[in-house]
Amino acid sequence: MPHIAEADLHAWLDGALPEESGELQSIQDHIESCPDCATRLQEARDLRDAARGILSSALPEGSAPSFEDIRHRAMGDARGPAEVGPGSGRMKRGWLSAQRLGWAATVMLAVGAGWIGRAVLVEKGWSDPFNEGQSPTASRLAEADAVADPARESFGDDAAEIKEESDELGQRKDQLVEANEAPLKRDAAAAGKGIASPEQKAQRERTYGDSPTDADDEPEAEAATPRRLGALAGAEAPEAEDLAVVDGVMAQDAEAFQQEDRARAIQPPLDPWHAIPAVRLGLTVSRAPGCYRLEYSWSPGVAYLPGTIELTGIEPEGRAGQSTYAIAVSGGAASELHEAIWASPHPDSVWVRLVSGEEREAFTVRAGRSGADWLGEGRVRVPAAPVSVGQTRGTVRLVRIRCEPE
Amino acid sequence: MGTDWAAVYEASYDQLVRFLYRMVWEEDRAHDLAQETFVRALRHEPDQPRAWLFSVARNLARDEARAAVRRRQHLTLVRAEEAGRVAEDAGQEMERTERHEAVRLALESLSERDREVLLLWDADLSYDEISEQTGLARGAIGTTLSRARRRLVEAHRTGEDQNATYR
Repeated sequence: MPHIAEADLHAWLDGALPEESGELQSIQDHIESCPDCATRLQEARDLRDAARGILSSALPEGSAPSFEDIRHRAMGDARGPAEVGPGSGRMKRGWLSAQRLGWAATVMLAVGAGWIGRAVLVEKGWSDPFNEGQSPTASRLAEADAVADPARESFGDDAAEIKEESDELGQRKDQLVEANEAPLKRDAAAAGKGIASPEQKAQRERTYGDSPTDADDEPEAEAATPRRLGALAGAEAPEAEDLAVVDGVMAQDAEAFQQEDRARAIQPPLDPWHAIPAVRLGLTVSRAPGCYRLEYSWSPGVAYLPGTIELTGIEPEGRAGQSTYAIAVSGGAASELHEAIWASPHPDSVWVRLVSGEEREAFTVRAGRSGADWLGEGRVRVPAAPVSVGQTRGTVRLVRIRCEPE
Repeated sequence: MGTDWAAVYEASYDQLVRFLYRMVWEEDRAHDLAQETFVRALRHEPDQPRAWLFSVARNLARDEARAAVRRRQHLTLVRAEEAGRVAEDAGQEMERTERHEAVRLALESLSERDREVLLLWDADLSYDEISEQTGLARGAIGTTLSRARRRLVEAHRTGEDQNATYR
């Protein structure tokens, strides 16, 4: 008998071979007499178990509503066309209200968790570079920011900022929920007006068993002219040490440095704003003057902030150590960007925070020196996504470029 | 006719949510779509409840995924975040996010057909049911699953290696 086909091995493992066909027994007999096929069977079993394990590592959470709720909703939906479709119906509205409340609670608890998490990190030696009180850099940047443009919100008043953002998030959540419902209601209304042809309706009926759900289109971001954001003065009076001296200090304190690196190695992969070692913040404010172009790429199909982002860190003449930071943005990124801030708390570290888009995604980047360039990672967090915090990750490359005169 | 829908709901809801979640990658949306699917099922009372449920869910999820891409073309959503869990352990939370992200990326490396077959298998559908859902010949399910499992495992392993290097 020829060896068992791979497909049959998997079918056998999955119990998908009908007993009455005799194939099951035939394969069983062959496996017992063929070491090669027995080995392949084991490999197939390992593969199946590994695949199951991978999929099981990404299980959704949440519990099912009672069947009675679903049944009532089905009955309620049947009473009026206005209530047809997901995101509608009496029970659904109640559920959404609960969801909104849940979202508000989520925001508040997440903020609280952030504080707790930060407290833990600070206790362990990690600090938030842009939080007043934790880092001299932060307060100075915030002050400079306010001076540069009083209309811009300060990064310093965390409590007010948190409250404001929470309120905004709640509002946006509602808007997004409505936005999600809108196309469904629109489709239902369109179907009611006979916009879809009978054939189309029949097809939808077969496919969905109900009214259609269509995707909504949103306009793409328009390209915009370049603009400069947030000229920020890093005002902690830095010592007059240059990079070599800083490196020298670290080399002399090799043991402490190693301890710090070990601590960093076990640090959870949190938002980089919570990830700069306090000891490094204490050493320097900015030790990476110069001009850089931020290059970034995300997962396939994801285009975030299309355009160019350039960072400038200079030390004005006569103001030794008083670095001035600026971010120049062009292309689509310019039209979307609300806030931008960057700093180099250490010669080998650059941190960038951008807030952009209608949903005010926070784009955070941390990059480290790698030869002439800087490599790092960026994350996007989307606080306003419906009951979700979206996150994606890509690679970041910070390329040093020649500074253009003002 | 005569379907015990409460029993079907009890037996299939979690599977349906699991299937939907791997297509839309938003927990609340997956629950939402699963509930919507059951609401429609109760109104139509199809003869083959389970096959009908997955068929409708699959189409709803496809539309949802396309809509999500258009709505947030700059963004890939990974997961919903529950505050209680965050409060318990922020590090654990991030770990979970990254774990789901790794699975999502590995699944995205599969062809749409292979991914669907794999997810339907993971939702405990039989070969016959998968065949009916996808239009594949029953005899091709084993081949497809074999290929999909191998690809998933390889892609996931590659992603882990890259992550280890990256960190």
